[in-house]
Amino acid sequence: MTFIIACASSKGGCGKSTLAVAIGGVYASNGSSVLLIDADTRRRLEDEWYNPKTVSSNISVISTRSEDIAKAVEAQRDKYDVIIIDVEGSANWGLAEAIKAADFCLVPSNVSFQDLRDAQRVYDHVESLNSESKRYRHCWIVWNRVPPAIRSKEMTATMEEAVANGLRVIGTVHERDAYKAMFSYQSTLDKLRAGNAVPSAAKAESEIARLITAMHDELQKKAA
Amino acid sequence: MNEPMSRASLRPPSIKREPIEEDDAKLTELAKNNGFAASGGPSSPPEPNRAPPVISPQGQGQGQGQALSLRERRPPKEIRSVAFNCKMKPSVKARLDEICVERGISQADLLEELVAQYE
Repeated sequence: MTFIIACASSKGGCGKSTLAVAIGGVYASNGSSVLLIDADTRRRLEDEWYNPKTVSSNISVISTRSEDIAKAVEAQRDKYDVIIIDVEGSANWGLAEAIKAADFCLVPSNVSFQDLRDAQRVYDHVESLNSESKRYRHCWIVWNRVPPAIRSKEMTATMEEAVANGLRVIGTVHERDAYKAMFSYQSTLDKLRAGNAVPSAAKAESEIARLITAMHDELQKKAA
Repeated sequence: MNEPMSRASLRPPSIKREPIEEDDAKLTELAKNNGFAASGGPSSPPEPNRAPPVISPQGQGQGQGQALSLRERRPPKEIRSVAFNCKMKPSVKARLDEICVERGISQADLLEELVAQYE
């Protein structure tokens, strides 16, 4: 059965599309068929990133209006191993629908108090949805664009704040050129890694692989 | 070290999804109450670029009424550590840090004392 992931945040610019592409790329390069549902009105995935000449044939992209996310998921379910929903950075219907459809909500958040507020809002919504719904949805924060070398006091305080507020953090995605390069070259991390085309691609791919493994571990724990 | 993990661990898990009768209206109402679903939806006009800010009756929407207290939980500005917005010799910076640690005071306190002494 299809594993459905929502890159869910009401905050714009927190890295939802980048995370969706990075995760989709790693799944695809390991043999899974992946559908990216682009429900952002800017259609970044379909218009700016997806290029059938440079992207693996294991990956497909469709754009949909936010009000049609549920229908799109229903229509495509079971045709793919993984469906990743990317939404607009807004607390709109699309975000609510993506969360409702997902098995796993990943909430990317820059390490700032402002972003954390938005992340907490999504997290709280998923928690309340779980209490009312018959189906459980995982919801985890992903720290995004974390500098690899230096961590400021402000960042440390924000990370501590998240823990103090009971938010669950599944992983960290560092600031790396490779993530930007995925859009510049309309490609995925595995292709950017090949031949050391983008030096940070291998590290980026590894951290996304760890993130995916952590998601699988959490699913297994919950199922057990 | 930088090699990706094994293919097996990166295969998506099989999710059992038995048909479940969900109360869609209830879940939609919940989303609205939580400040989501502010725009769009089957009965709405075409989706605008950005959703307007919404403050729900429960005060859970965007803005001031939000039930979060992240900002409030931070220490007041005056007792936060100070990031010196100037270039200084590393030895001076190190000495400042040493004094702060020795005396158990913040950089802000130390600056306050120095200013007081100067005046």
